[in-house]
Amino acid sequence: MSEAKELQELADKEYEFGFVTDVESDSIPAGLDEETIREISRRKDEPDWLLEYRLKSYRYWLTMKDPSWAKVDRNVIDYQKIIYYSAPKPKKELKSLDEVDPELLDTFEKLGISLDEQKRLSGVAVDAVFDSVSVATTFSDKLADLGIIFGSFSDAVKNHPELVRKYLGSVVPYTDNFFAALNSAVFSDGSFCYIPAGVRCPMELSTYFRINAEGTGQFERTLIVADERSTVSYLEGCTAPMRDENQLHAAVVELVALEDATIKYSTVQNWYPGDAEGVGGIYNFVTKRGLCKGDRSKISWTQVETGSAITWKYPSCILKGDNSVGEFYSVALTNNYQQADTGTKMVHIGKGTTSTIVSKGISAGHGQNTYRGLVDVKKGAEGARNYSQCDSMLLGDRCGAHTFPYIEVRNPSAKVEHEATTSKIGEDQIFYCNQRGISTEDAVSMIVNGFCKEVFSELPMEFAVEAQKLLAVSLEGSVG
Amino acid sequence: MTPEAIDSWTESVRATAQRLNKADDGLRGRREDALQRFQSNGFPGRKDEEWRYTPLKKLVNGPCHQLLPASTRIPVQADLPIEAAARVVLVNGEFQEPLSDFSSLPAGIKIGSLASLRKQDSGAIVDLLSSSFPLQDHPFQSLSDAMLDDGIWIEVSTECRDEVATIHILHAFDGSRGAGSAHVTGIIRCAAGTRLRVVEEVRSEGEVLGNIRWGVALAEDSSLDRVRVIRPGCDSVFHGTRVVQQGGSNFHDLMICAGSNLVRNEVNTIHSGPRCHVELLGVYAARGIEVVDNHTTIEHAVEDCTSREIYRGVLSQKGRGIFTGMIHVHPDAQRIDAKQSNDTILLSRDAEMNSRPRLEIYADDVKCTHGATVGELDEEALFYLRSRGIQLDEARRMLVRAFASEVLSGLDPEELREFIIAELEQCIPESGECAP
Repeated sequence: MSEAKELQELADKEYEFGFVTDVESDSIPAGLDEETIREISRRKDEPDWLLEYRLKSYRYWLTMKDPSWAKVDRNVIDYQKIIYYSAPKPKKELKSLDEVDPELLDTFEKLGISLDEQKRLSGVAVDAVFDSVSVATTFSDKLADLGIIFGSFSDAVKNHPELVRKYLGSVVPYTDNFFAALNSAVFSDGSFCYIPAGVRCPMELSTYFRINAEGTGQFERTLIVADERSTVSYLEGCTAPMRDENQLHAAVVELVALEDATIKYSTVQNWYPGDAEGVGGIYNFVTKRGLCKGDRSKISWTQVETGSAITWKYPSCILKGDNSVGEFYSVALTNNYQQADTGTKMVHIGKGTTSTIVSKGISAGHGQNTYRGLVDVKKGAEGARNYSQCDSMLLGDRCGAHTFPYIEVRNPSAKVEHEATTSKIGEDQIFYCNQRGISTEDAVSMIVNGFCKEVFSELPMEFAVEAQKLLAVSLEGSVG
Repeated sequence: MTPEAIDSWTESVRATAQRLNKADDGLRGRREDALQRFQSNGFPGRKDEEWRYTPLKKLVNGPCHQLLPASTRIPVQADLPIEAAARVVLVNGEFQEPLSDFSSLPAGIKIGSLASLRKQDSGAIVDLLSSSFPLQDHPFQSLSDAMLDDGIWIEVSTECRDEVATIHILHAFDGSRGAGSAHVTGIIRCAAGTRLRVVEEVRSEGEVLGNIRWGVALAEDSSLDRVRVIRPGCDSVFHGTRVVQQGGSNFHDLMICAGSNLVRNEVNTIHSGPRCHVELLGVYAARGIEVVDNHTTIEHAVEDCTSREIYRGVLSQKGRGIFTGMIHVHPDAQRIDAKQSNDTILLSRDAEMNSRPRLEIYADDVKCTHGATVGELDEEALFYLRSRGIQLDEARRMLVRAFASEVLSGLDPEELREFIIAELEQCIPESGECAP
């Protein structure tokens, strides 16, 4: 059958973004003990309070067990084999993009996000994180005029210690979970963003994460604080070069929205998923949580997860302020031997809080896709409202789609609804498209994009296009 | 759960197992294995995902670890309005022949106690038990196995293909002479093409753990229609059922439960042949500090099977409801159609619902849906009724009745349905008693 042949061709397609940039890495040896942490802190020239925080986290981490409750099948991670700090060697002090290592810039260009192009054309400020240290931050001056602080986490520690100290760990305490504790102990760098009261951030803020040096775990730390009546939209996107060894990524993202503030956090994740046999790929174990601290605040998570060997994350909202709003829109795609255990937690504490969950899971090949979510309505959450919809689509008969929602309601005035469906693409649908001259591959891509439309429409323009393309690429070879 | 409490359970279980083992009845291995499991696992706590919300503390720390003494006393309650071909009575886990009535039982149906079956053929019972109840780490199963003594078995042979007999099974737990527990093991086997109807009733008095489990085997094209009524006033009840269905068989189950302190209902069905259908329905009410925990698993192991599941609960005062419903579609089990829903009405501020629908799907040509809703009575519907001169309490009752009747509508005869609805309503306090 020509269809099968076509599929075979597509299935053989290799990961497009697999390449390694030769940049001299200034790493410290693999392994983790208190000395490693002191060394990271020393290299980053950190204040004592931060070192203390790291050590406290490390000591707590030692008492914890590597969790195993997720519906994923993975190798045991040897935490002593991970390099916890790796930074591109600074050749000299960088003042403009022209001075950035051309090889680095080249890498970004291959990814289609050349910094200068971004700077000139798209109006997106990019805080490019190459391995663990920010090398260039664009548009900072423009943002600085409005009082917006946007830059690397290390800079924020130096320049705005009072803000960092106040909010670091306030949403995800180091005691939260195994990987959050590990991150709190060894985090290398990340992004920090503060939007002052009443300011509407004029552009989408964006970070591009790359994992580069072999055996380097990335331990990003992102902290976004939106002060009263402010608004910010943040984009996070990722690709990683091809590696055989499993690489761990245990990031922590904390969002704080004060009264009437809005934070929109969008992610497109396309890390190396391992090859068609399931060898290699990134372990993406991330703790993401937003706190709607003030009344009428809003946090919205949108994620498109197509990469990683294992995705294990639950971007959550703590709806503390009265009438605060939490949203979670997710597309997770697993192909070949990829596994995803992802979802959200909506914790309703304040009165009149509302949350919406829309999750679309697509499984193909031998992929295993799990939605796991919690809607927790506390006693005081008078009039809380939740609507959850979890749809799964199965492409192929060797994959799995699983749904594990948890619904806990302690207030009678709350209205909680959960719906889940599982389906496959109908042969009649494909036939209909074929009849009209649309190839099976295009038809599947069309139908899948339609299936995900509710989520894509939540993405900022720049991402929506990329996400659709990504989905099509990731699905290639899986139609059957 | 205090370590001393666990110790007293273990001690009591060990003593009973040792006493029973003296009889040398071929069950020694099973009892010892279960005792071992119970000793090493004890009772699960909050960390155990399957028991996360189930409050076992009071039961475990309480005085129920001793076995209830033999009794013939049935707690007095209005009888269910049913006509049955046979009535089987078990008191404190023991089959009571004098209280039972088999006078109009069709010839093709055999009912007996496990004890009498064991006397006839001790090898057969070991096989029967191991096929009905595979050994597993489960606190209540381990208790049943470690202290396995008597129980009941029902066998429907191909002789009575054209008849549908109703069997009434009454489990009575008499704790009037002191707290304790009783463990019942039951086995039902339906031969190919046969049909059986079972109305199972649980009554209990005093501080008692009634631990009941059933192993059901349904041969090709057979069908079992079961109604379970856990009558108000029970203390702690564990009720577990494991059903293995062959091709074309039908299992229809309705669980009704109101007014008991702690009820854990587990149903586990395995479809091992195509064209099976299972229907799991449940209606429950919890008030005071009562807890109803429904835990179901449907294993769609082969293709072309269907399942439908609806559990509905009404929770008032500090009542708690728990629902965990797994639909597991195995690889290659294509063309499965599975529907599940769990709806809950919360009538008071302190009521609590924990709902966990679960789908685990490994085949692509399937239709699986689940839905869960939690909320209070519809304001507008209440207003509509009240604006037509209907009192608040009456309006609430009407709405609750409508909510429950969707599940109960198939329950025959009508007198039984009305009886059940009335009993449910009695377990839902008036609005004044559970004002928001």
